[in-house]
Amino acid sequence: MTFVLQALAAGRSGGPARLVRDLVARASSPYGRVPLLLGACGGVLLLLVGGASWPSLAAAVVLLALALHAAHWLPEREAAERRQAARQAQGEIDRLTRLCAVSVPLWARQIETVRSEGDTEVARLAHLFGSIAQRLDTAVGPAGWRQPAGTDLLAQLTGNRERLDRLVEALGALQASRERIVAQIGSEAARLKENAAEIREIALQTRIVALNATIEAARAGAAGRPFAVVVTGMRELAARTAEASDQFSRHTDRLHATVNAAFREQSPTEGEPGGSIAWGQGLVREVVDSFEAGMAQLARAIEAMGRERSEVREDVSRVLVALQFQDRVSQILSHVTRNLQELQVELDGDPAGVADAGDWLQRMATPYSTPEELRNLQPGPAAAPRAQARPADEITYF
Amino acid sequence: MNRKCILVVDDSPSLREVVGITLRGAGYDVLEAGDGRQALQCLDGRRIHLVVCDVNMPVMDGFSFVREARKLPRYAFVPIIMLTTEWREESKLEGQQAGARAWMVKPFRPEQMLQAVARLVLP
Repeated sequence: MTFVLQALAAGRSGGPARLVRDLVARASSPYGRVPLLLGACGGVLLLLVGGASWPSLAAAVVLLALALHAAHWLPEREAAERRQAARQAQGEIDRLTRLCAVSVPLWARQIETVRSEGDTEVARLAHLFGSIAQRLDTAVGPAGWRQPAGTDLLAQLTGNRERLDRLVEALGALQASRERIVAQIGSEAARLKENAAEIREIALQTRIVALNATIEAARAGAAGRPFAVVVTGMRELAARTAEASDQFSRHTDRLHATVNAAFREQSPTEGEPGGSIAWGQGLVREVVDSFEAGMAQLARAIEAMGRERSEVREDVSRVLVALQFQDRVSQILSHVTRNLQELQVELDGDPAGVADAGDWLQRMATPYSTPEELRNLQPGPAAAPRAQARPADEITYF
Repeated sequence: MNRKCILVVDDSPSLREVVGITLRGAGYDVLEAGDGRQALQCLDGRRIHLVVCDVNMPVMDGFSFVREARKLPRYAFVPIIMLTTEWREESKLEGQQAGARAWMVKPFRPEQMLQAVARLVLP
């Protein structure tokens, strides 16, 4: 009824034109159009049914008035409800904006902390790994243990073994020579003794002859006296000769014994250490054999290390590829951090300036370069990390 | 014997470490920089035989560094390998136009890196 009174007042003050304008404005809204149509239809029906009588006309007017009131009140009600909903929505937006203003910078800082810490620790891990790989390469690498060097050592040992063998042969020849010398000395000594025995025999015969001569000299009497003197001299000479022969024989024996003893000290005696050439030969052979066996084992070990080194190098290469994951992770996290910072700028700014969602997504994706980031632009589950990053097979040369 | 010096430019410390391990293991000396501006400061007259450079870096990106390096007479012909996650052709073209000599996509295999370095490094 308020509208009817207002309309009548407007009609008096602004004329029918204003009334008509208000009606048109109400009719443009569904909340106004429906009651107006219903009222108009109802009024027409009443007039058709009741005719142009006063009750029908009055009823039609009342119905129209009610319709006009409804056409005014409903849109106002609807507009008020919309304003209320808008106020509530704005309140919710303000609340979320305040939440984001607090949360987004925190998330950005946390993500940056994760990125930075990951970078630092993986770099440290890579450095330690590099140090281990370097020490391993030095230990089993070409510094002195590659097979050619081991082979050279064996060749050197073989050469030394041959020289030692020649030394052993020379020692053996020396031993044989000494034995021959001892034998010769022995045979010479025996001959000397024979000579000495012969001389003694001669001396004995001389004494016998002297004795006979003495007897003949005695028979000759005075004429044989000078002869007896000569014979006496001869006997003395024979005695001295026999004695000299005995001494010579004793000296020869002592010399032979001395030489024998000297050579016996350096002659092979089984199980007795020191001084023996044959013992020395045996010792040298034992040492060389033992060293040769050790070097053969070492050569086999060097060969095995060489094979192992190749496999270790392959593993090192794979680890170096895998360690590059941190670079991709760091890139993705830094992009997320930047996106959050840009979002914060948007939230702090004029709400009317918030970009269209599609434009916003495109702006976020501009710096994306990793395959994972680009896959995540598509809706659906997050891009799963590849089990092993596959290195690019080609290098582009310009 | 003087060892050849290679400048590695990347904002990722772990990536610089991995490249360093690869190159030092092959007998090169390695100089490191965390972005293009730091890398330009390394071009102070010392002998650099090759540069390995990332593209996406803060402060100064890889393309800008390459362009600036090419303006320095002493370093105008130092070979530069771009090492990056970028695989798009337009990025490669930009790298070529800036003056890079090769483009390698991460992750790289050490053998690949050494092959490229051996091919391009200055004598």
